[in-house]
Amino acid sequence: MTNRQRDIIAAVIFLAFGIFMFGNSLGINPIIPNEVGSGYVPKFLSIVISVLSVALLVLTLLKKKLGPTEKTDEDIKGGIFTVMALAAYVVLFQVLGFLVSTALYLFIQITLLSNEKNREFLVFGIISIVVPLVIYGLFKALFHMPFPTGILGI
Amino acid sequence: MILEGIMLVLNPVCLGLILMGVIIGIIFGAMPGLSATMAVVLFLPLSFGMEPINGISLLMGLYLGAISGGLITAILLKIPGTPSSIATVFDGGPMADKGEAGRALGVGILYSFFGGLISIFALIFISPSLAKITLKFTPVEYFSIAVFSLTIIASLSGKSLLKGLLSGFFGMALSMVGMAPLDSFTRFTFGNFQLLSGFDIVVVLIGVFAITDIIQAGFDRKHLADKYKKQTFVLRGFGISFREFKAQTVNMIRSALIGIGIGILPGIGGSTAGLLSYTATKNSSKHPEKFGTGIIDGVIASETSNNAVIGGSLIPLLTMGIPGNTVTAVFLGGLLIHGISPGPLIFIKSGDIMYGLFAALMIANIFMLIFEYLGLKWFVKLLDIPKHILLPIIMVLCIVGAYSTANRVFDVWSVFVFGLIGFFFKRLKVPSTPLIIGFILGPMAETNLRRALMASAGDWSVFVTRPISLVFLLVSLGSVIIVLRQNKRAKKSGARPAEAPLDEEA
Repeated sequence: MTNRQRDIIAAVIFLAFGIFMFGNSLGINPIIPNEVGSGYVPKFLSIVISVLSVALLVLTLLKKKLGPTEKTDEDIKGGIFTVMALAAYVVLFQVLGFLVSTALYLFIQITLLSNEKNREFLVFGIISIVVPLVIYGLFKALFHMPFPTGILGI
Repeated sequence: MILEGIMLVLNPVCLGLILMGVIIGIIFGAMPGLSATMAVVLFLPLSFGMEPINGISLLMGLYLGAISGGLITAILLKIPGTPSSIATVFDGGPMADKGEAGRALGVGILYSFFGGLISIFALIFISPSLAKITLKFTPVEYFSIAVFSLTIIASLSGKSLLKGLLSGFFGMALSMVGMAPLDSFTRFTFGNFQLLSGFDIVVVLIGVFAITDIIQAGFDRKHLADKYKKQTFVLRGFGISFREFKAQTVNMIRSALIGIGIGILPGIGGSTAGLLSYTATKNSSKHPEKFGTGIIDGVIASETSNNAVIGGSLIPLLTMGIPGNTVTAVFLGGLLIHGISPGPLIFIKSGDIMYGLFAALMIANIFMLIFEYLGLKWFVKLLDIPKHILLPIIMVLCIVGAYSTANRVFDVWSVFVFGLIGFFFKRLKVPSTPLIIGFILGPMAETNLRRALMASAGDWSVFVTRPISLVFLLVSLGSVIIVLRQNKRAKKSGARPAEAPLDEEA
């Protein structure tokens, strides 16, 4: 992605957000007499965001220099799997409960980030079981924190 | 009475409680998601059963420890342990990358101590007169301070001011979700009752800092092991020479004063103090372009200031019974339970306890210095844990931290969404620090703007006719002009303007 493409995408997203926010602020009417109301600042913000993003768009389009295309040696698979692991973790947090979902997530995430040289499944497994248990114990004892227990009841 | 007060504290039980408070506080401060408020709330019931001075000393230790503990994770992991240490990440993080983690921590700890010390002196000697001035502050002044604080965005925007501003306003927009101030109008909740109370700053912070980090690590996983090298730990003294110390005196005093000032003003908080001092130091520095690359100036500004907030925030609490932040609001409860009613007469009615409290704070500050200094070696060891194991564990702690803000799974989902937002920001090279600043200051700006306009019947001129407000607005204008000129100069000389460090590797 060139810097130009990046700025155009950013400008368009912010512009869409600004317009969306403005649309949603229109219905907010003042309740207290002689007061600007709760729609005032959101409307102002959404207009400023829209104007700034149009400015960014125009300035970017006017730029002659395209800028170099950056080469990356990113690991797309590693990134997408990490996002998926996180998404699964936050969704399963409630369904499976804290202990199970955390143990699963830890094992998967550690494995994902490791490489052939430092992959030791036994160590990963032990960490994935011990860490959630320690956190659970501490927070339960200190805060009486009600962790989600999930369908398994633990 | 002063001696009596000090003697109250100097006994093994009380000293032990202070030490316990400081250590537990540091742990709470260092863990992202666990805050000073939680530490104090947790131990408040315990303090009820104690002698007044013992209970109060314990709470003081907790407060002081928790505020300074945030620097450990801010420097070592680039995840601020408390919102107060956001600005510590800017230079502390790059210092750790350069292999100077020990030095950054040493300096941070030392100046946390000084910040605390200066503010405790301020609390003891000038509190009543200072408090009187701030009592005169109306929403007009508060709004102008918010505007002034928002100008930080300009200097933290890096290469693209436009994108920085967009990020900042986006952050303010996010803070509008939920029930509006003043009239409690439900805004932008889209029918979801979970959104009624809006997003907690901790949730946004963890999402944008920590979750974004691990997603990035996933994309970089091939290089994760190369980046990981054993930290050689060398630290002489606190990592600062006497010459450097002398050169930083102005920075220290300015940051301490900003911290005390912000502490006195109700409802602003340590995160703003750190950011403000960082910006003030950067703008008045001879080498602003070096900020964000890992220099001690930035760490000193942030850490001096956020610890100075402690003494500052106790000033209105003790002399007028006005709590300026959530921690002091909890304190107020603690004091009242022990039959101490804060107010102008507090030194007459419970003078010995007051001097005892000052002594406890002083001792807690010293304990903090000793304990964190001795712990330094072990803190740095944290970085010796291989990244592929350390990052996921931090992730889990962050998720627990987010969950514990309100014990609801919704916050866990929100953290993930903010992580994605932070990640896309990084991809598009939009700086994410302004988002956090906008989010923190948005509600303060809005609430006070509306209050001020309500009182003036819609007349905007109040903001320039009231002198304190005018000063703040002029200073805001000045600081924006300085930043614009610096950027222009930097562009001319071909160098890039200093970039918000958190986004440098985007």
